[in-house]
Amino acid sequence: MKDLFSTALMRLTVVYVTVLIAVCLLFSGFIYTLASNEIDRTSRRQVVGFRNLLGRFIVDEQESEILRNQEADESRARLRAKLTLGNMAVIAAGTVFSYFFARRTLYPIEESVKAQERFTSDASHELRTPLAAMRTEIEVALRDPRLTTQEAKELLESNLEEVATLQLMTDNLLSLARNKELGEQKITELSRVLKSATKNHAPKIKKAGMTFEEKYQSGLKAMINKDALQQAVGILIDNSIKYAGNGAKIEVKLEECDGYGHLTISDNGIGIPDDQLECIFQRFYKVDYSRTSSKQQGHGLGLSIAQQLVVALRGRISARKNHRGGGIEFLIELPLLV
Amino acid sequence: MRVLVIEDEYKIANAIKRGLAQEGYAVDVAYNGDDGLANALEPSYDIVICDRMLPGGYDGISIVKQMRKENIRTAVLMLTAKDAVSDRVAGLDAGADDYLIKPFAFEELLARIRALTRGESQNNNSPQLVYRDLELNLITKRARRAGTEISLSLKEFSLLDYLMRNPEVVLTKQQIIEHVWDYDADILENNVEAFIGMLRKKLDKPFSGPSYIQTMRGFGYKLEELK
Repeated sequence: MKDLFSTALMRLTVVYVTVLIAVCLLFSGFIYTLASNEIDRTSRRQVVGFRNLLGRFIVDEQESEILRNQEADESRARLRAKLTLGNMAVIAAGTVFSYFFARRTLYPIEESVKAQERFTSDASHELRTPLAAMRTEIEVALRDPRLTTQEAKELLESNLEEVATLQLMTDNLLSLARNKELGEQKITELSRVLKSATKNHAPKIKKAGMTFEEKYQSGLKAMINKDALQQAVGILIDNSIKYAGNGAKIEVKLEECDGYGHLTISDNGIGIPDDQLECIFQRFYKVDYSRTSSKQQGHGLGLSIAQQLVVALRGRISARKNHRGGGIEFLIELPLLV
Repeated sequence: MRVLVIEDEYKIANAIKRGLAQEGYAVDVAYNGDDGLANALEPSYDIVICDRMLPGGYDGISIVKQMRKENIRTAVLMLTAKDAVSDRVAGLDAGADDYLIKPFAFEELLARIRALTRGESQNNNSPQLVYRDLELNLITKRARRAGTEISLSLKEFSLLDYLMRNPEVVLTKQQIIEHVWDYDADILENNVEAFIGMLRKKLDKPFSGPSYIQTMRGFGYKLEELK
């Protein structure tokens, strides 16, 4: 990987330098031809001028010719030296410049390849873990000659859980890959979309033993795809259900702020340690709850999908500590139509 | 043979424990790195099976490093769902003895455990332990003395396995308990005596040759041919 990029860097630098040398040589050749013609012409003119002025004194035509050639040759030699020196300086500086320029060209590619590698490695880890659980459980059960029906049932239930995990993961991965292009965008009243999004989640919120409050400023319109916004809001509500849990309160609010719709989704659950707030939108990032004994585990794709959706809606998403409740607060900013 | 499994995925950890117990291993499980390290530093384990990525302060790599730093030489088999070459190299360089990629075949896990715990007393060609005319096959879990097959219960097998790996060494009852039973087992020194008695009945009594299991009064037991 590293080798690949260092060879690419060397190659690109060499290409840049070769182009630079070719241009320099061509240009120098051109200048040299022009200048040496000019030198010939001037020296001839000078001699003619001299002759007119002091015609009588110049006796030997041939001698003056030699003198003239000598002077012209000297001028040419000086020109050559200057050109060579100039070229060398330009090429030397150009090589250094080419190296940095090549590095700058390759840097974003290298970064994106690295990100892709990280993604593949994380995805394979997340897919392999449920597979490993299933495989080991099944093999161990099959090796047991005294396996009871009850144990076999438990095994199947456990396998089904893993299948569900794998299915959700696959759906999410596909959704991440797909929703870069959104469907149709329309002028939409935001509060109406939010109401229907939260309505869908009301039973889940109730089932989790949580309370819910919503407050929307009406009349705020934006050019959006309503499914995308609903999905993003749904992910954030699910996130709160998963991590805040029993007894907590979810609040969804919308208000206008400098031409943007500020949509906040907050809960008063366990929240996220400050140092991890920045990372939660990364794919496969999981907050380390090992010290708080919570066993909630997602696979770390939901918030990435939400972020991708919001960005596709030309908006921004951020997370911070909920200062009133101690949980987490997500803020989605969407450009409004005036 | 006592095994420590350090794995945060409950299902995988419990399935490994169950599968290894079916094979006669005494298995303890730690579900996070901190507990795992605390257990791994005890000398009573014959092999540690450790997941690479663990929640808490210690991951697989730092556990192995810490073990080696504290001079614990127990064999470590690292499990991981990451299969990049660099990951494997990092694990082995940290001091792990072997590496297995998840998902793995249970058969292979067993074979690797046998390979990692292969002692000097073991016959190189087949997976069996040999002492004089006594043989113990580690796969079929049957013993053989002077050509006669002897079938053993799982615990008898584990006990004989431990004795045969330490021939002519005095083993205290406490040592035997630590290596043959897991942490949760409710076992007393009397029980060890009972199991030794059963082994004797199967291995020594029916044969006309010398007896192999010796009682060292006040100390414990020893596998040795009485001259």
